[in-house]
Amino acid sequence: MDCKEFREVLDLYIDRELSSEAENSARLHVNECSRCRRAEQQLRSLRRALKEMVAKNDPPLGLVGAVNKISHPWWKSVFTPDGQQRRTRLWGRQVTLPAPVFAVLLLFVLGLGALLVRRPASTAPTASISQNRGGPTAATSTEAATGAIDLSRFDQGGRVSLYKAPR
Amino acid sequence: MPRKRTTFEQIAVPHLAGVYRFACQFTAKERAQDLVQETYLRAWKYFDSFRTDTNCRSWLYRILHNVWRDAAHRQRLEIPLIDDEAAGIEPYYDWEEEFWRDELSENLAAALSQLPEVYRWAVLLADVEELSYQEIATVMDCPIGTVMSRVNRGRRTLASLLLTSRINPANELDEVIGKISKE
Repeated sequence: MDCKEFREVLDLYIDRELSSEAENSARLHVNECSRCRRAEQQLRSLRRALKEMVAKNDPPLGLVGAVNKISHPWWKSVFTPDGQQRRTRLWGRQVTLPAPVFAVLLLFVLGLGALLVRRPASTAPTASISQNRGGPTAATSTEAATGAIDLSRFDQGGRVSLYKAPR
Repeated sequence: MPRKRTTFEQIAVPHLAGVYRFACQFTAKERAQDLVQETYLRAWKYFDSFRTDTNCRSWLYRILHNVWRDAAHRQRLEIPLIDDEAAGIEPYYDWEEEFWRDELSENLAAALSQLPEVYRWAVLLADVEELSYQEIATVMDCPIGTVMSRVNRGRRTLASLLLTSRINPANELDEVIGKISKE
């Protein structure tokens, strides 16, 4: 390998991308040629300087914390600020879910149950209310016929008569 | 899930410092934090598709490259298109003699920031991260021949920028970049 050939593969030589045969040939040339040896050393110096320069920036603690949280479920950071898994006794067994999660689940189930219990009571009266958008006189006649309350009275200022005590 | 989390923490999170330092070479530190956080969010999202017997570091750099490219497109920043194949590999380094007399790192940061970004990616991946050309090609999503010419041309351009910054401090760096790009 001569100087011209060596300079052509200098990057590959530095980056260890040459075949073993070509690398041996390049190494032999570097040992013999002082100019090419200097070029190789200078390229290595550039690499070293780049590494030193880049190594100066350390990641801020905020970023480290944010990245560490990525792989953790959201509830863990909310309920266990220290980030440690808490083991809770449930039905005689140790489980890793934190106790507050059970509390939240329990509240959720209770809330859902309350909603289901209240729903039939609230839906019953709506069946007897008609959504008649006709005039008040027409509404009164249908009201008398069907026994349903005509909501259009609210729009016509008939609220007072609606709530009058029955004679 | 706990196993995925443990593996992620063992093989992906330890590269955080390296990924952050790398990102700092392409943008301001505050913006670099956003890039890194987005990189790790994507890494966690797609961690199931990562093969643990492959190089996690180059996988993370590939994600970082995609995140950086997406961010550049969002901000309508134009990534310079350089015909690397046409540029070829320059056989000689012509900055041997006077170049190395002083402390090298003095103007290196400024010169590196002036280096076109595709060259900066290639040079930093090769010199700082010491990835193989095949890994760099995967990270940058380009043929291996393009990686060779980018590494070669990037180093030469960086050296020219350093040399110019010593001879003509700060003024003529843009001229050098334009001149080298036209070559």
